[in-house]
Amino acid sequence: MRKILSGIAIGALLSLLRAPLGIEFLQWPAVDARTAYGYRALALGLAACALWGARVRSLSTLWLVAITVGYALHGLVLANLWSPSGHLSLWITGLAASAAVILARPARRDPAAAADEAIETTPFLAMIGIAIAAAGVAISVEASARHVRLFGAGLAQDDSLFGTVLLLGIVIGSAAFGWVARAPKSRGLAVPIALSAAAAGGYAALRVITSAATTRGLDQYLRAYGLDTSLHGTLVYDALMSASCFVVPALFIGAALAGVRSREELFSMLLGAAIGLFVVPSLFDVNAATADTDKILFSAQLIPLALLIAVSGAVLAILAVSVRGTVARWTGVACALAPCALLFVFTVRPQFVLSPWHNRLVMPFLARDTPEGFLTVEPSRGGVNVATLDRRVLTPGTDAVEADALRLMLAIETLPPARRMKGAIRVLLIGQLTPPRAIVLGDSNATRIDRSAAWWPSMAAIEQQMFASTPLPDGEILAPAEARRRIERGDYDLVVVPSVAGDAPVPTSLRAPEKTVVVAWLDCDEPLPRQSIGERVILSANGLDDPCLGVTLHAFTDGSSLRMLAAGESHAAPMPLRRLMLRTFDRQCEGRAAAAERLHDAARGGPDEDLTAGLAIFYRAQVHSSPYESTADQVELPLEALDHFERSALARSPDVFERRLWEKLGRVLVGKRWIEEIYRYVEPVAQRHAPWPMLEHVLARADIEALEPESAIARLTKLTELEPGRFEHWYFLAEALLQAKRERDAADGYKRALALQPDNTGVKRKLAVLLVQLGDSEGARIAEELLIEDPDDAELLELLGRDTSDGNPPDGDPHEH
Amino acid sequence: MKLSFVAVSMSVAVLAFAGGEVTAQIERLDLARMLAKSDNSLIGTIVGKDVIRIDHPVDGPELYFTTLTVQGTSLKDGKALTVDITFPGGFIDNENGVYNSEAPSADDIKTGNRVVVFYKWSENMGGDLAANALYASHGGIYRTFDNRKDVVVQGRGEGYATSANVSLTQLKQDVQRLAKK
Repeated sequence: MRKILSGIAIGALLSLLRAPLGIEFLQWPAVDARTAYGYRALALGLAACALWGARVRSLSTLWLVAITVGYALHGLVLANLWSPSGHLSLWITGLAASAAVILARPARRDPAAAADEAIETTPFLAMIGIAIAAAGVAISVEASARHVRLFGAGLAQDDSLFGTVLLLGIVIGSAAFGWVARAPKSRGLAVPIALSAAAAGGYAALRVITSAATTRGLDQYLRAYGLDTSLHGTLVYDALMSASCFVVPALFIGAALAGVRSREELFSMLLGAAIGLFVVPSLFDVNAATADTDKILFSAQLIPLALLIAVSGAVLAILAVSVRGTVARWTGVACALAPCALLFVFTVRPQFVLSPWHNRLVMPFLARDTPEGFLTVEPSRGGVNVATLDRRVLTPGTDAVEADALRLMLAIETLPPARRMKGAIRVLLIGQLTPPRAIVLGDSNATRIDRSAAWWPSMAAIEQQMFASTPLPDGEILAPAEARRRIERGDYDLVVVPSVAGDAPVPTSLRAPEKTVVVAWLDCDEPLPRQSIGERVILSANGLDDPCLGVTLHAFTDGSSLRMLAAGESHAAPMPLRRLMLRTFDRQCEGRAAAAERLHDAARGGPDEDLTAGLAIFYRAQVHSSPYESTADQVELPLEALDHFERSALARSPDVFERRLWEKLGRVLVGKRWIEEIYRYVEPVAQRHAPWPMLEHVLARADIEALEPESAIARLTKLTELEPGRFEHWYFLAEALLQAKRERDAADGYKRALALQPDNTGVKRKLAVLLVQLGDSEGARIAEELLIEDPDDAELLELLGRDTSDGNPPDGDPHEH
Repeated sequence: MKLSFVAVSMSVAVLAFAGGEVTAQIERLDLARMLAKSDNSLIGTIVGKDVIRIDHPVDGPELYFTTLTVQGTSLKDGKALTVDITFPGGFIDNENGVYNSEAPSADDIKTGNRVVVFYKWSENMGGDLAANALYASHGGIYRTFDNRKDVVVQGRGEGYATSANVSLTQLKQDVQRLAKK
């Protein structure tokens, strides 16, 4: 029983000692590699010391099962309930778990075992050899794991599952091959040989990674197991991908652990693995120093290096064994060296795992492995370049640029008015600077923009790709330590942390002098942190898209136009295992709904109750829609949510958030063609807060749908006076006039619209048809112009009284496709 | 045949069922053509919805079809009717089903919606399913709403049976006039 408890404690220790996002203020968007790898190495090191202290001299399969259970229990079940959030709590947790292992050791020593142990002591040189071999294995497994991580959703729960699968593989390896390693003839040889083979297992992982790194390859690979790419980031998908990559190394590691016969061997193996893990980030330091792409080291290229290290260690360990004869030792050396053949057979090339689950080819402008992970700059769907780190999008893509800009503007709003008016605002951006971000901050009178984050050594290269010939704003790229120093010195008016998709950072690390305002944005797609996020937060969304909460420090919020809401208390944390059962879209909806429900709970009885209730109902109602539906049709719009939004809007003057919300609702209602709902919900709000041009436009569109053109004409005429530069007003005014059979006026409306968008072929065509019908010769002239662009336009040819080129009528028989 | 850019962009993509074979076609329609090609049309309320799965030895596995039960009156003669109308696609539950690019949107087929539908009997919609097929899939169903004077049928643009919004009274008159021809 004590053995099981100790094993569970070690497993939990391995899961607990992971540095969370936001462990330090400067590590909100990503954790510094040395911190991340340092704590994982510390976990292995503490496990080595604890097992040494507990006088454990071998890890039986039962031990390994207990370790796996402990790891999975925390990582997949309890992680969202409690995990260490700072350096102190990580150290205390590590030491407490180690102490628990030592204290749980058998109280009385078995005399026979003690005697056996005395015989089984390992020579020091062999210990060194095993430690080196284990370091090689750790590097090899980590090299594979860095690729496996790219196949997942980039969340801590994915990492937990990958780790659990690796441990399960080790358990199976121990159970299946342990007898070979424990056989008397394997004494002194099994552990080094198995370690050497485990390091070579990276080659097997690479084969899987290579075949699954393309969209077609991944699809075929998944289909062979009855899965598909829509399951990306879910339990079965993650389990399959990690099992495929880890199976070979895990089986050999299991065999090696089963072959351990002394405390020294076990200690040196775990300590060696810890050291191997610890040095991984240093291996990528070369990448930051070079701009030469040929000299960049990629994760895949660590595998041959790791194999060489492991083989060297294994050979040293075997040669140092004193209990075996010469023949046995040299046979062992030959076996340990055998995997080196792979170095000559296979040429290892960099493997780019670029979201192959997307049905889109990603062509990055920049792709390099950094200590923090795989970094790219690539075009997003829509064309805007984005930076990614381990496939987490660090900067907004085309769809999210507007929401990101809004958040930056809201952050500026948190400065005291006097400071804003003064101008020359000094900003520290903890994240990646992009051209849109530079423009927004520049337009807000930010004259200096320093930036820092965990990937700061690569920032210059990213900015080079992002900005190209666009001049960079004044400011520097800072190492986190320097940025911290400047924050403490009060160099900044505003420190802003843009939101990054993925796990929520720990919010407790926000710290700055009183005169520095801090705004850190939390994405709502994943569960909000358990820790307090302050009493009030800024709510921001682009309508209803990209909802984010702004955690603030020293912010000025009195009388500002910000929507500040009570932050509320953390809800029951969803179990990672349950979240892994959900597809990405469902996880996103659940995260947003949970955040809105938390805000709603905090807003009960207050002025924000209706708004937050509407948001909670709205986000909870979203379901996966047909990809063939229009964008508006893909939005679920429960009437109950609209009731709440309407009550909220009628109760007080709308702020920036509510204005965008209603404009989004208007666009969705028009897109859905829910005419009755437009009159029911939009009309009262538009009347209460008139003039609201966007909502008036929505009502005019509804009038056209309702065959009430006169009402639409009245609304749109006013709108064209109010906003003469808006194409949409003129175009729909023309449509309404046409519906009212005022063709001449409609033609004038089309002309005004065309003046604003001279290249709009659709309007030009409508105008041409209308003018020809009115007998205006200008119509024929415009039609001729259009025919130059499209000589086969059958309708225009018919309009001009010409035959269509193929002899068929313009709207002829069914056309097979 | 070549269709112009506008014609193509505004054409209705439909699944037409000819003989026993399912053939995907783009078909440009207007009300007259729709009435000529369909068996009947009705204005009514969607009172039921059901999705079935067929695994067929020839047509293949996992064929999903959605059947709407529409209760209303014929546009041609005003007779009361309750008709089951089927189209390809749909989901039995969250995991089992298929999205069909030509299927009506979820908003179009909500239970309780008052719609105008055009349908035609098909001996084999695929997987040996004989049913009243929603003619031209999403091009065969039109939502309605009340304006201040009448019921408005929402048109779908050029190339559809009802291209622009029209009052139900007007549509009925048009249908009855065309039916007499």
